[in-house]
Amino acid sequence: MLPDVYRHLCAFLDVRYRTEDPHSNQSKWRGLHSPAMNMFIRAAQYACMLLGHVLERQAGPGAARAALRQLEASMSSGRKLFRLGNMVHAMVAARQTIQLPDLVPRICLTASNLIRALYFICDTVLWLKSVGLLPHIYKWKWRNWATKCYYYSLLMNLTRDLYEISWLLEQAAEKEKAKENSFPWDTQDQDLICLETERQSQPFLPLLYCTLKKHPPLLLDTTKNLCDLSSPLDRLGIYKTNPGIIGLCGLLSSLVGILTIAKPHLKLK
Amino acid sequence: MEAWVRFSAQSAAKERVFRAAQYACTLLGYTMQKNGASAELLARIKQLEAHMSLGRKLFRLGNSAEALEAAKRAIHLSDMVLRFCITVAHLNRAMYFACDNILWAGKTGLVPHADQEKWSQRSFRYYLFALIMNLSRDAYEIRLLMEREASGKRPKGTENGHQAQVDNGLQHLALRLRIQLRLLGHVLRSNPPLLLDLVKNACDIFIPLDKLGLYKTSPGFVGLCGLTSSILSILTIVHPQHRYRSELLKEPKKQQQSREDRFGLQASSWVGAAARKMKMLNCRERESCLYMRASGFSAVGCEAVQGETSILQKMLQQSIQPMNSLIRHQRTQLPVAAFSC
Repeated sequence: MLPDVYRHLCAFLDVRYRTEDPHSNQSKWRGLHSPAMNMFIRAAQYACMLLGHVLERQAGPGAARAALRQLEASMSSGRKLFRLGNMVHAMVAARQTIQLPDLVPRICLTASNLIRALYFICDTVLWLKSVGLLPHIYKWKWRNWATKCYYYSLLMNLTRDLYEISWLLEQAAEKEKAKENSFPWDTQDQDLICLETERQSQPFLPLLYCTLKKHPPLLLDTTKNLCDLSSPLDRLGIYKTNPGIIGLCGLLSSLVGILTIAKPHLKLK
Repeated sequence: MEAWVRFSAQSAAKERVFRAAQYACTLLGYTMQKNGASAELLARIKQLEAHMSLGRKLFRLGNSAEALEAAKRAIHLSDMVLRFCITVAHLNRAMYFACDNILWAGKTGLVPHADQEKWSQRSFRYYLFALIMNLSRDAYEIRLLMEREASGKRPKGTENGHQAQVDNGLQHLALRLRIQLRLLGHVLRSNPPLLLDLVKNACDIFIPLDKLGLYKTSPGFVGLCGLTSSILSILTIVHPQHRYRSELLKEPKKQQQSREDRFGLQASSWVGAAARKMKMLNCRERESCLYMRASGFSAVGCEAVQGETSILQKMLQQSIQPMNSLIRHQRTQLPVAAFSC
């Protein structure tokens, strides 16, 4: 039963377990695709954080909390190890986004990728410290810089999302106006014209919701960025929350990330 | 930089790099110990190695079910020996990964009373069995390829054997051994992916042999073997053409169609040669007529099926017979008889 569940999960995640030759026994052992595995482990890490906070509130046994904390720490360090080459990814992504046609997304995304590259450099230094290869650096200073870089790159991403949302709302408003302009030709439907004018003074939120529903990639990306923002806001002291909220937000953003990897058409370009 | 992005997007790639780094740390630690380095440095290298091992174990958590899936697929292979070897190898790998998962759970504190030593020994045992199966599969493939090579050549061996029987039984044996070795060398040289796979498995097998205590070597040698096999597997990821695909399981070529192709092509080439002969003898009319026929034959030959070969033969005979009478004085007869198929 378990391999079947795993098979369906792999199919869902578009893992190429249907390799070219089923009879090969070489060590091109196709485990889960690396970014997908990373997202799973991230989800598990934040779930541990949430669970630890819940257990603390209920005054559960200390052993369980300690075990969860140790598990979370080991997952975090393992993920840090596998993040080692990612500054190159960020530089390549910056090179790609600098060629975007629109001005605002181009600036925002390129800045975001460059700041993310700085974040990965700080992350590498922190890993070297945790392993013991650079014992004489100030961990809190580098961690502070890493958190700031992460925070600014998230802000850049959110700026781009807000720009896209405002553009879509403008488009929706223009479409409404065009529809309204076509109606005066039809003098019989007076009450229909009234309905149209009523719709124009619609509250902002439902309109926003309708617009976002039509564009799921944008909705997912905005949700992910907003959820990711909770952790640096807490660390930098701008908006202090508890580990439970951070765990919940982190779990939600990881699930969105897994969904984006599973269905590539849901990824915002 | 784009090359690194493409490389690390593949699932096993980063894991292989960290495996190489882990075994490089083992080798480095052993070398430094031999050269009398400080205990602090050795402790740091050991800590780095343990950190990488734990990180790799974390990212291997899903591989057990993956190996079971591969075993399920390998059951449908055609060749019996390969089917057995590959399925058993995958099953052993699945068990190895399961033991590995338990070791990870023990190290991170999820299952605190797990006997690390016992589960480590178990995992290495399954790893050893999987490698033995891989090596037997490689040996089987090599033997088949050698037999194919030997049967393809003319039976020189038997002639030599007849001669050597006169001389000495031992010399005969030495000669046969030399021939086999030469054949082995030829097979391995013409199949670099198979050679790569064989060397990788041979390097890998020293690791469990040392850890289980069956064939004790130094930690430096284990580190060197692990590093070599990791580098070779990174090579197969970077250059997929070096990945080994079994010769036995390739699809058989469509013999019928190629024969017809050959037929048509041969016919057209011979008629073309005849046309060139006509040119030499200054028979321009015949030459152009023959060139037209040559191109017509190559077109027909590609589409010919069994029943139409007689038509082709007739066409050829019509064009070649008069030419033969013309060029008989040059003693060059076109081989019409070869078309009887």
